[in-house]
Amino acid sequence: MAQFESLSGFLGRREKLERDVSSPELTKPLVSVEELERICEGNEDLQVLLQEMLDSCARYTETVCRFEEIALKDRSETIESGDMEEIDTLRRRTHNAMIDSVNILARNLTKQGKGAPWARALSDRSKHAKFAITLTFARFAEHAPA
Amino acid sequence: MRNTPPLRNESMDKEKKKKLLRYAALSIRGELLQDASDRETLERERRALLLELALSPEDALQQAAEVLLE
Repeated sequence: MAQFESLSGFLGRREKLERDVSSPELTKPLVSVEELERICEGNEDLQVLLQEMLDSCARYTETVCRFEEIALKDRSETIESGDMEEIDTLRRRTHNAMIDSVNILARNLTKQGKGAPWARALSDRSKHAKFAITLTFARFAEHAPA
Repeated sequence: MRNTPPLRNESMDKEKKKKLLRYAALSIRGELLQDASDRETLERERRALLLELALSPEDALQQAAEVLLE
């Protein structure tokens, strides 16, 4: 009985901690889509590069969602042979394409004298990943269809 | 020795996470798709998941983002 109470207490504390940690700040992108659109406004080349980057970030985020969904499956659930390898390969490929598209836009913004201070924080693959995920959710959450 | 309640909670939690991730993947793919008929199919599954999750579209996406970034 004492063990059960102790476990309940632990779970209660864990739930509280999760609630405290869970915050919109966690999912806030380094730069907003609106800010990027404003910076690229009036320059067709930059607008094309921005659209390509946003779509590349979205494709990567979709792949990560599918990968994580499969990773959460129990052993009892049917996972087709090769599914995990296939989605992991796709995830790595879309990750590379996304990093390229972000770097191309940042480089061109700098060339045009518009600057890209947000890109300085993207020092490794995991930071690019977080950037893509937060930007994509911010982009689609605003006009999520009911 | 483990008790039943935490096991059940973990299992429920995992199911919810899977639904949130599935919902997010469908929402993103739906936005990227050009083909209207494909979008319609995705939309049906997306709405069904939303009903199961009992969340607004905004909250479902917010929670899915938190699952990915946690």
